[in-house]
Amino acid sequence: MNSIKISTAQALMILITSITATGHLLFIPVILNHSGRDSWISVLLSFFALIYIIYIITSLSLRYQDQTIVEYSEVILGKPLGKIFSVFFIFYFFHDATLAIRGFGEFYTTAITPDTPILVYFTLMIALAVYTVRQGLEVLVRTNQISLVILIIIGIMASMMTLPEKDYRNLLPILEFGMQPVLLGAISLTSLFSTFVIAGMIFPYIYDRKSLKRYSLLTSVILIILFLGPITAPVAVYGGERGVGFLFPSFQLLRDLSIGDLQRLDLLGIMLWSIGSFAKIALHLFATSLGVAKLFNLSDYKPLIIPIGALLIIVSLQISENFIEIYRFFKDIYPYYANLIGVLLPTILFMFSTIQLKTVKARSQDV
Amino acid sequence: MSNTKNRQSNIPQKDDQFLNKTFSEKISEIKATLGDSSDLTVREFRNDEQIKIAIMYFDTLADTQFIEETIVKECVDHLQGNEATVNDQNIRELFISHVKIFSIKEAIEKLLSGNSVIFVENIEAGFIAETEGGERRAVSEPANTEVVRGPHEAFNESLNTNIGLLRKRINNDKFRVEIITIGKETNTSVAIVYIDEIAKKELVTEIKQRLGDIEIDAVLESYYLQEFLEDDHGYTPFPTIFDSELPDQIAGGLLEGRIAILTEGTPIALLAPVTMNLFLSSNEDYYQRYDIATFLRILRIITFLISIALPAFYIILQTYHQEMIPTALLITFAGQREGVPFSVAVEVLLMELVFEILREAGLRLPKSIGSAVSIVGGLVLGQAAVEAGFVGAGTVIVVALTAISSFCTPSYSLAIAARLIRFVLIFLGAILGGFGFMLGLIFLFVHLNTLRSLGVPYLAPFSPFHKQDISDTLIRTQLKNKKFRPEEVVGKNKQKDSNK
Repeated sequence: MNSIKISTAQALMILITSITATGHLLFIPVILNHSGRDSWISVLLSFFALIYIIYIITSLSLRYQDQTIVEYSEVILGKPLGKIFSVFFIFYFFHDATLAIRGFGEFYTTAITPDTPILVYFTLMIALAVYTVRQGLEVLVRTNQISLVILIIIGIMASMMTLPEKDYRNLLPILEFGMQPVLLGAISLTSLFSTFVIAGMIFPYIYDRKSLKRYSLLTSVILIILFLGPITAPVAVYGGERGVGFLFPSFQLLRDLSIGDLQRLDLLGIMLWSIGSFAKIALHLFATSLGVAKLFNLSDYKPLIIPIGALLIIVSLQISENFIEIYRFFKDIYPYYANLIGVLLPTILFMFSTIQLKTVKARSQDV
Repeated sequence: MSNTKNRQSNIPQKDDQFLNKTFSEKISEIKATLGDSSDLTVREFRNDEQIKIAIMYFDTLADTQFIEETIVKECVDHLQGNEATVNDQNIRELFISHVKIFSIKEAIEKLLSGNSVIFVENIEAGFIAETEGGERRAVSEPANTEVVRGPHEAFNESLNTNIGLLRKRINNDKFRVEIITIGKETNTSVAIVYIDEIAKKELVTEIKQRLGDIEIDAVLESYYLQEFLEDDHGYTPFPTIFDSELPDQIAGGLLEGRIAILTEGTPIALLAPVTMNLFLSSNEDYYQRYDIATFLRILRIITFLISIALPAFYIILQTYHQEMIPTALLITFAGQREGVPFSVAVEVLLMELVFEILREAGLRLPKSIGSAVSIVGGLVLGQAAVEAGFVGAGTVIVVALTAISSFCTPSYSLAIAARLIRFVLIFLGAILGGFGFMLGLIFLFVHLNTLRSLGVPYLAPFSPFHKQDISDTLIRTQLKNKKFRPEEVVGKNKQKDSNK
């Protein structure tokens, strides 16, 4: 299993895809709903939180180089408490995967094919993810390596095409309702960035860790840039009133885009979110399977992939009644829940690990 | 005949039972083993002193003219001499032969490869004269690859000629040839060709091991080996071993550290390890200006994508995403399809099927009738199908463009892979629309990433990414900038020019 070797860039690239894909699809409307035309301030504020999360996770990964987050929580906190932490993390990965699948399925059935049962999208997406994860993490990150470049090119092109319709004066006035909505938006976005904790499952497979920290910080900048554009665009194009009301604002932008006689580039949206959601689901499926395998000290995670994949389909169906419920969950509960697991737990791990290392050092100096 | 080969020297084992037999017993035993084949010629000579010499060869495999003019003539002349004796020493001069044989197995092996076996009375061992010959095609123009600029030589069916064609291009003392025989029944000679110190040692041993593990009755074409050599034993439509009939292309591969496998009786050489990039580039890219070559490479990749995805894309546009088609065009399309009873998917499938039939027919027909097929296919089927209301004109355009595009792929084995994938994408697109189409493409990408050719990732240098190797992929930079051999393939000895 340890023969999987990926590069730092590949690992960070899959994290970028994983965070931005569902982020653009499901979180941008939430943040717009919170902070309206000041959303871009929320994004800038969440930059600090993102750097903090990335710093904690990469430091932990550098301290326990060949171990996943599931393994080193046991090392740091001892067996019972470590296992409890691991269960939290694994549940979080699993739950995030179901949310991504449900989000993608709802997007597709709401916006494009209303008559097709949502189960079709779940099943096929999971089947593809299962196939990929069974081929190993390396195949997944290498696939993503090419597709992310394509996605970013499409994204940049799309934002350039909308340029004539954009009027950035719509972003004025700034802070009309004070800081509170902006902070709420920032917390919401931070909860999305908490997904970065999944890096704890793939960083052990990196073979060149030298510049991990540097590249990770660069990743945070890229992520912020990738969010600044799409979060300002709906307001700039549709205005502060209408811009915040869409269910899928980024998709709406693509729909209204026209290149000469080519109009309504729905297909671009399908492309972006199929690839992105696929990467996110596959990554989370991998992390869940690997986490469960590590939790129970199994030698191989591959037999777990199909059962967990099947479970993902069922849970995604059961997770809520309709899309609005998921939307509310993202808006009202998810920030606290995700920040608890993605920020607070790693912080506890980091603190205990620092104390441990210091005492070990002190002891060795005494002797 | 050519002594350039490093034939694996198996130490001759003495078969005493055979060696102790008399002169005529040996001959009749060999004859009996070969079932008294009519083409096995045995020529016996004797003189008054009762010296007997027998020359055995297959007149279908050996160079009979050579035997007649040298061996037989020498033999007769010698026996007519006054004090004709034949012993170990002068026999070598006599028959230009240095190799002795000690067993019947060896004698038959040599006979079957076209050599002559000579027995002399009162000498235990037999002798070999290298007389390989038989019918052989001359080096000619490539049959299936058109060359605009570049050498017009192609491999032919003779292994020796093919190795010679490569050696002629690479005047290097590091050029290595190793010949092994594969095939329990056919005993086909297979040559592993590489350049020492450029090719990775592990890869050479890996190839040798894989070839050694092959258990097969016959090797009639190099594909017999290809399927065994491929990393996943052919569970993919994509070729992971490159094949070419052009010596210059194979030589180029050798110089990048790849390993070639030549098979007796096949004008196609195999090359491994390779990446997908090699299948989409032609050796002519290096024989013309780099800017044009770059343009052609990008064009080829676009046409490859068209040949895979265009029909499926057309179907999803027509059935699921009409909103993307400009309104004026959409109205025209709708007008054309008025009265067409089938759905777009059925139309496209029908036309694709017609095209595949035409292509297969054109391939099998003699060239003189081939043009008739294209007239019937192109004019009658295409135009009449539209006029009769079987299909819309748009469909014909799409299928035609796809067909033409598929011919742009330089490698035939990659082009036929695209043919199969196209149908899968058509089904996915017709059933699931844009989602199915994207799902198919993602699956394709994932699948390509799982492929390896002798352990080298198929999509390298794009994924995994290697900065240095990018200069010879989508773009071809000037030759002076191509300083590195492909990293995945060579590993060590990356830099081409050690001075830089």
